Amino acid sequence: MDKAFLSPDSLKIDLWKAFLSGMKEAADDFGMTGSAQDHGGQLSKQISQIQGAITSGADMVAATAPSDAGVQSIAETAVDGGVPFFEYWSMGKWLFPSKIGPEFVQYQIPETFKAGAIPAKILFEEMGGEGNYVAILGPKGHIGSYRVEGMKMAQEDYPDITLLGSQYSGGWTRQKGREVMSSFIANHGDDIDGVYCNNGTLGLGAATVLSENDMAIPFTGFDGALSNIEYINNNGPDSGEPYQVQEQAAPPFWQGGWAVAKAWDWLHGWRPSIPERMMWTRTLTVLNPGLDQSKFSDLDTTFATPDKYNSVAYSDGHSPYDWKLASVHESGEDWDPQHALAPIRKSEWNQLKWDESNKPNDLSVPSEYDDADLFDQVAEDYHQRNVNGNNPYL
Amino acid sequence: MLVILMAIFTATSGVFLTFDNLVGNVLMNSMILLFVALAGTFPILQQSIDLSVASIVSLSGVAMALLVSDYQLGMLALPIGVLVGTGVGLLNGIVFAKGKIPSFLVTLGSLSIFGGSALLITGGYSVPFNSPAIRQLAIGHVIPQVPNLVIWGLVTYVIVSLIAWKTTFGRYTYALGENERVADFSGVKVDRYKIGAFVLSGTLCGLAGVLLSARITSATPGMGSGLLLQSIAAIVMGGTALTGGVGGPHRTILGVLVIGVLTNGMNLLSIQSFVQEIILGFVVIFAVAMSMDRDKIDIVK
Repeated sequence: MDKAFLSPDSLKIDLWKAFLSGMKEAADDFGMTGSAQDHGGQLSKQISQIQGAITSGADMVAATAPSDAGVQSIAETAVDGGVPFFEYWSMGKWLFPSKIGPEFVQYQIPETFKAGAIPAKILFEEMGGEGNYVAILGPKGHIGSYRVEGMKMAQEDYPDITLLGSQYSGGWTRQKGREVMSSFIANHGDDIDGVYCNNGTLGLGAATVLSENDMAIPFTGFDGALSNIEYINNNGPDSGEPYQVQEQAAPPFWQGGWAVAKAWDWLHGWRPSIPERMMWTRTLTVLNPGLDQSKFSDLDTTFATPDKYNSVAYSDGHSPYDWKLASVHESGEDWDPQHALAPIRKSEWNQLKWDESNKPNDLSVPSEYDDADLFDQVAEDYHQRNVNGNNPYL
Repeated sequence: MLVILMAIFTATSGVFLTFDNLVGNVLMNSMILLFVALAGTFPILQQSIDLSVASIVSLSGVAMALLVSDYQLGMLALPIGVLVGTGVGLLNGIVFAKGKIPSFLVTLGSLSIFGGSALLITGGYSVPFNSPAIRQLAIGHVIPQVPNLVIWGLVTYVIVSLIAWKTTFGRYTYALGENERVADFSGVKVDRYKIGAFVLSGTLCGLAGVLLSARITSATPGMGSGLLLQSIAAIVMGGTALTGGVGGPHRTILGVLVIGVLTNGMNLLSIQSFVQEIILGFVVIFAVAMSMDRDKIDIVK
């Protein structure tokens, strides 16, 4: 095994740069090389790139499909090539990795509803528990947009908070954030007290419009882009500028390294159990230093300071992770994931937007999903390894 | 240019010149572009242009996927999807020819209309469907080792080339590109052949959309994105002049293969995608410079 391949949406995005850095660092630890080609949202291009990578000797593929519906095609491309495959964020409806093939090792995503609820609660608290907000939702059909369900759940605890409007942006760029925020301001003006942004880059776009309109109000962000972490560091509640209350970050650097470590295991004979084939990644909350963290101690999340987050996520080859420790093959029973992971249970499929309306008639669900004890065992095993192990954010 | 590229990649990659790579990767991944480039060739031959090709691919693919997933039409959805392409191509042609509106503007507008329609009918979501039979139409193997999509593409290429060479429609298409006024004075029913070029373009894009959906068992409103500029590059690299009357679909495949070989070769060599964009740009310019027959073109703009 000597080549790891990443197929992201765009390498212009910090998240995927960090993912690739983690992948390269881990690949280096295992004596491999890591490379990437972005597909720019074009599924046929992505299939072509993955085929080319496998033909030229890639031994594993990590990817995100442009949309949920594309996952099966790219997974099957990897399965046909006989290489282990890891999918992040997007996921096909009622698509079980085990049904595609043994090579589809794992699907991972931050817990959608919970990840959506945490920033909403911080935003609502920062708004003083009352007032009006708007929501910028990202592109429709992307699983990232499902965070809005968490936002709605959080709002149930704040009866004096009102959602004035929500709008899909059609993309994840600053320009899209600007466009949507401009329309909100045109419609609601100074009535807006806060902005729920489904993505940090959208948030930074929205912030430029807020700033132009002298609206120093709070907004949220997701995905851990470097520019958002810097913005959080530079703009507090007293800055007189719109300020980002937090950045909800999946740990992309860790995700890249983890995929390589597990591919290494797979190529040396390890096979994941059914609960390990689809897992939640715990998100990190990078809180604005101007906010009082103790006010949010009841939130089920790991807080990280902007500097701490940057030192790990953008460490570029010198992270505190021990990738060989993440490998069962290398570390045996002492292996340590070094980040919190939990199996996605049957009762949580609604968070993937798997419901009766989109369930295929001839679907057969792997029987293991009815074995709650099995899922409890796997969840507890990962939990114990994480709390007792090497977690650079704790 | 194609020979040069193949020589370079054969020398630099040990797997480039293998049957599996050339057929399973290069040809397989070039076929959708081939359909779209063939579609765009006829309007360009007539000195017009169809900018809506990528949107028609999306609209046809989405229509087919919805008919399979929501209306359980099965195989019947395929010809209906193609007919959607034919229909919108007919609309393009009628507005262009009868309305006397430049094709550039008509199809610039319809690009937006068809793309917006695809978004509207899907609500912006992707449309997956579960039909192994339909999928086999694209990725199955009627001929061992040769994916069906490749056969669809090559058969269509032969038929479209014969249309250009052997039919009245083909001959008048060239004539319209050479000099529309002379063709008109000669009694050619100009509007009919102008509309015909857009109907053929729409049909081929419909076929591309349907087969692309079949390949990936889903459709998205943006599934045709990126095909417009690549198809124009392929058409011109093949030797069809934007000024019309020169070249033809039989040559378009050369441009498609240049792009297909270049993309595959760069993927095999793990060339960074940002660098790929730059190299592709240079190759397009060089390929056009090498393929243009300047003796047949009086003015270059």
